[in-house]
Amino acid sequence: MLKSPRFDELVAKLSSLPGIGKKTAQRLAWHLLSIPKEKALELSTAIQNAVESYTTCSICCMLTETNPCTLCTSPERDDSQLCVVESHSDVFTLESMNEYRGRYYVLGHLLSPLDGYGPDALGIPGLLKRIEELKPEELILALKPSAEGEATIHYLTELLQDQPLKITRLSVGLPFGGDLEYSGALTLANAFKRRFPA
Amino acid sequence: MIISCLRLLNYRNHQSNSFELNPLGNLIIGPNGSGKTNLLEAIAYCGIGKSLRLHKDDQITHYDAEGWRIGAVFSLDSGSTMELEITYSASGKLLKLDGTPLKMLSTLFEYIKIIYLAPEDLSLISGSPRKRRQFFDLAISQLFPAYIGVLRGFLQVVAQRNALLKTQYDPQQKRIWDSGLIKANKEVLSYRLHYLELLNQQFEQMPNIIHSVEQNPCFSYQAQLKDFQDLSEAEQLAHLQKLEQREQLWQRSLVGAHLDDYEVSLDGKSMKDYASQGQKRMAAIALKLAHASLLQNHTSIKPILLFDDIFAELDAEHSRMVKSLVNNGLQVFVASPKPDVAEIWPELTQLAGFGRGA
Ligand SMILES: [Zn+2]
Repeated sequence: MLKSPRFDELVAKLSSLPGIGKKTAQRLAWHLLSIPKEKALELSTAIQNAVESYTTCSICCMLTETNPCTLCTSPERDDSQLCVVESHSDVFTLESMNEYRGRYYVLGHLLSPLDGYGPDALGIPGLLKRIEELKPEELILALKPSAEGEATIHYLTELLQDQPLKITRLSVGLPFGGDLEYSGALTLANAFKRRFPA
Repeated sequence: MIISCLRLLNYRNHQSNSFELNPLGNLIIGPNGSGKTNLLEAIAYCGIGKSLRLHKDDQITHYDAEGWRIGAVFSLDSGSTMELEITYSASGKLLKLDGTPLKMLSTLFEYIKIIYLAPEDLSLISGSPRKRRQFFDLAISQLFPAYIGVLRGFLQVVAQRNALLKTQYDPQQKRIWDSGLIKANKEVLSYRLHYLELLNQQFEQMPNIIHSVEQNPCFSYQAQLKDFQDLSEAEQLAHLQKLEQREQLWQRSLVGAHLDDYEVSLDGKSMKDYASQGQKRMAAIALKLAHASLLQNHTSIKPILLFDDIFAELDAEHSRMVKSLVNNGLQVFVASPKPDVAEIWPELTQLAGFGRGA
């Protein structure tokens, strides 16, 4: 008996990860089962440790090991700028640029009726609270210029139009990731350098 | 541009074939089923990154092979060469230009211009609006590769808005997607209308392609909702509000570029309704050749022309007229089951391997 329900479950869990298809998941599963047991279990321990120690920051919704996160608590950061991004990985991308020194807020999702995401799926109450507390001068909507990004920018701009904020957005043009589905071309980092009023 | 060498691996009935191609072009003469169309389809694939005949990538694979590959060497008009490799396997599709993986489909469209002509082009004149939209969207993308992203963005807005219309949405959400639709629609239309203007100018300069009439065919844009594009943004929003109940009922967007059509007229009359089959056939061929001239004039790239079984349905006079519309120096491929097509294209060499039983 080559395969079992346990094997199938492992494949199913692996292929639920982004970017991993069924074939890759099967290859990974065979690999995990063929290497020494303790090596394979190191992976599951690493997953467990990371998952248990990470939480979302109660201020900016960024993944963090300390709550609030260091991006929110660091006195070195500039309170006059608040950058709104879609996901945690966007924060990593912008931080790796080493140029932006302001604060962040992670929405978690963009407006997308196809995925069932309306305004409730976006962390709007947290964002409003963050703006109220931080009172930044500039709110940067660092969202991708896709159909969903544009709708979210439109929504946030309308929502915040009465606030004494300078709202800026990234240069429009091609969606990040280019126009082929499987690759990354125009990056968030590139577009971040060119901002204009939303 | 010229395609000088083509290698096919497990591409439909070409298990492993290599073709050295004549810079002027080639005749591909063989019975139906000998792989003529598959060869032309593979060349056309190089220009648009997918099957022009709407075959799915996994359907292209030869029998039970694991995947397929197209390798093509192009000589650019500047004299330099460019290699394109397209591989498809279980892990997906990869396009490489001179060894570098392509990130943007628009890059392919920028460099490689190939135009495919076939008898079914008749549907450009007499077929459904969808056929015309497909042709014009592809043509505009070849002339202005940035249109690919613009169109994709628009279609995504439509998909999102349709999804919203299926739910119990709040009015503010509707308004956001309404204005998204209007904005994206406007962008798509600006490209389409600009292209039509250039196309009509091109047609005016062409010799008369249809004998019995004064002028060449003329193309006009038919917005599904008449003059929608001429309304102000506020008026368009108001119009979408008025449509709301119907759109809820139909659960999809009932106005926009995804539903628009193009009208072809001859001496002021709709060709779809009034022209003869022969007139429609010539108009469809002329449309593609006018597009070829547009590409050449505006991008300085000489497109490659693929004639798939076009001449079987034309008499000698019309065949010669079509040939006379092909600009000098363009590489031309002519596929036909009948050898007599060589009389019209004596300068082309016949490609081996397509004879009976091949
Ligand atoms: Zn934080």
